[in-house]
Amino acid sequence: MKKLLRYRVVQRLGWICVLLLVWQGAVWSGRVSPLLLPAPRQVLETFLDRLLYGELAAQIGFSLAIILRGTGIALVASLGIALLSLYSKVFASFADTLCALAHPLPAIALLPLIIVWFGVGYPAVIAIIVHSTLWPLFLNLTAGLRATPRVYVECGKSLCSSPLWLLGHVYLPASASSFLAGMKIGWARAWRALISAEMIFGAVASSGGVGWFLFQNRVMMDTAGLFAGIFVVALIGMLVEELLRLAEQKTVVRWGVSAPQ
Amino acid sequence: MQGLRLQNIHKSFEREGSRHRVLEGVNLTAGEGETVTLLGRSGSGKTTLLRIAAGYDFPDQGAALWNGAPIEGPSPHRFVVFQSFDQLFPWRRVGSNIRFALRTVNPKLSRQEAGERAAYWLEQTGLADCGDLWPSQLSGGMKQRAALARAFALQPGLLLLDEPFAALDCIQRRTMQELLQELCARHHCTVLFVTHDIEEALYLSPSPAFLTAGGREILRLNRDQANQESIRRLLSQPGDEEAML
Amino acid sequence: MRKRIVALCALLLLAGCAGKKERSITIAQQYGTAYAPIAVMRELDLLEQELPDYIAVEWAQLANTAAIRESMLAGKTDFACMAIPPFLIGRDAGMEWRICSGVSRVPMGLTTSDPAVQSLADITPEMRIALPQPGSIQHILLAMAARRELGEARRFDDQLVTLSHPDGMSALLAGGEVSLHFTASPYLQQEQQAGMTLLLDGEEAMGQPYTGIVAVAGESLYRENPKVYQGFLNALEKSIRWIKDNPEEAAQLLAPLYGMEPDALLLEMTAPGAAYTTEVAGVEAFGAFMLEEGYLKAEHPLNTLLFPEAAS
Repeated sequence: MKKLLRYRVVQRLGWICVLLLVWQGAVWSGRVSPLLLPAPRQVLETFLDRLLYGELAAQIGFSLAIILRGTGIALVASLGIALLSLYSKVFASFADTLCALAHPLPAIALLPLIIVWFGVGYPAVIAIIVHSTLWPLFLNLTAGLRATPRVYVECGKSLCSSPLWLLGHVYLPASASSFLAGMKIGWARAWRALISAEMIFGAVASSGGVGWFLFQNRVMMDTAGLFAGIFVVALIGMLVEELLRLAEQKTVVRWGVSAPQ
Repeated sequence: MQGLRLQNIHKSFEREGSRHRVLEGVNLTAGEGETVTLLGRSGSGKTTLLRIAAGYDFPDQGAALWNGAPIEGPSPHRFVVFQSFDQLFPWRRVGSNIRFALRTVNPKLSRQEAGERAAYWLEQTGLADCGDLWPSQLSGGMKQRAALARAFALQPGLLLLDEPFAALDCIQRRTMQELLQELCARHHCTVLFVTHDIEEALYLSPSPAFLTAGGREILRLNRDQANQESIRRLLSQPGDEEAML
Repeated sequence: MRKRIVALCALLLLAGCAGKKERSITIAQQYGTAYAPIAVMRELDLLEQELPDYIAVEWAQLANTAAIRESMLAGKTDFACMAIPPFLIGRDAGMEWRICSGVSRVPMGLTTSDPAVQSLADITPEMRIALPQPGSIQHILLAMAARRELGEARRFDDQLVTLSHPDGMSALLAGGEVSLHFTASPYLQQEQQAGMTLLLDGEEAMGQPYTGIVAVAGESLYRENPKVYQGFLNALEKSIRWIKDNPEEAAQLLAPLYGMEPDALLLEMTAPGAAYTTEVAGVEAFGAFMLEEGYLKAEHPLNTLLFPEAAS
């Protein structure tokens, strides 16, 4: 498994190097205006400069903190809804309908409503992240909970009669693969939504996150800064996806359990 | 009365819109420390009866008693080994599955004691080296033995076994059968053992039980009837079992 | 048979080419009465009259100056109308473009919904200030006022919310965390009618009169297509003169475009502080301030910012 992971990393790095070479080649050819495509070196210098002396590190921290908080809220909420659905058929049908309505809505489509309800500050961004992650998490958690093999449930019931124990030691671990699948989708949606929201809302308090950093560089026509911001967004997105993949390797892949299709 | 007592058990299921009667007033008694093997054609309701004894299902009519008290739900004192290969929790290693079961049932048990008991039963079931493996890394037969190790380690008053040795080869099967007998003798463990294997049924119990087709009745075979020949005859003549004896 | 097909294809290709004008030009602008001369130019076909034979004109309305700049950079836009600071930011970043003419002066100002705010000094860090975007003329005017009154140009840079004029107005009137809005006509007047107080006027912030909207063109167009360049300038001049000479008619013409009553539009177009003129004012003052405060990296002499015709 470690071999496989190393192999993937090598693959990724290899292709990134190829892209960098093509990029550098385009710059060397002198046919592209630096306003459209700054040199890799310039982007790297801008990136390091902003990271070490500028506001970039704070903006990254801000974005990560806000997404963690939003995802945390979505996690607790989706778990609550999923559990209620597990125990009440009436609630399950209500939650299913609600989810069918809300799940396909991109957060950006809800933006005007969110501005009216939550304003343009911190709560609005949190609302967008929660909306983006809640539904995929709920869908996958419910699927996982419902697909828990009866044998495990009955074995568990023979060991302990407490429903809470059963939930923690049987239902939740048995739903791990669905949960991780939901996290992957939820993360992807939340990260995109966060960056878009930050680009629209601007600074919350003194920080606006990576999206705001991008937007500022755009309006100030700092193309190298814009590229640096784009790389940060892509890099963080990729890193977290790798982390989730690693979590899968360490759990469900080892256990030999695959997500219900 | 000590032991398992199933009286006039009726059970039916809803299936595709129609009532499907599985058990129609059967009686079965297993005294403390007794091993009762249960034979019968496929679909005669053996597993349903076992599930009622486990407390997973409840009879529509009749009484299921354990040590004189009605069975109201699952309990670690009436532990089941299913037919399925995958009954250990896949998110725990094999040894951890057993230790975890032990410490859940008996929270006072120390980590060390639980570890020792788990190691003992893994060794007894021929899985001494498998404690640190994940269940998914075991073969079908090994998984089945690990599930038995967990059940044995719990030392339940009533062991409910649903064709537990079906996946094992003959040598392993004999070892397990001996292990089961030894356990019963040592701990006065009552066993209800569902099987398709006539030889096994006779080996483990001097008077196997036979569930007739349609779940109508349980026949306890006496010394004269408990032989391969008559059981085979019973299995081949559905609907007329009583007349045959 | 094959020959015939080839011939047919060639014919079709030729026909396609013949139907196309030699070159099309694209003019990018935003929405509002500040761009009235461009709207008149379009409605009265003034540019088409100037360049009758070989020009197809396309009118692009883009959401903000960043988008206009990017479209110009991509070669998709020939003339663009915007405020002076976004133009300077583009020039500073290396865009080869210059101002060819002034378009309009419009009233701008900072309004507030909070009666406790009597001056810039009363703005607390929790208050949010809505404006079109950082680097916009509203942002620079705010920074100028902040430096003059509080000695700190970037004092409010962390409190900005990027909202379009109408969204900013809704946010201000909704009474959320947005308690200030730096906007322009007609939202400025509408907000005041809705009970908001004017905290700061644009010219007050700048300390001198300035051109609100200028027309900008690429240097390559100027060099390679002087006819087109001159045609545009002529059309713009005609358009501005026509508005000056026929304000009522202009209001009648443009009212449906802005979804307004002609009377209200006339009032807005002739409001104090509003004017349509080709004159360009305030470039040096904006440039000097933005350089001092780090919004620009390099100094740009006036003659590198204006085309010779505009400078004279």
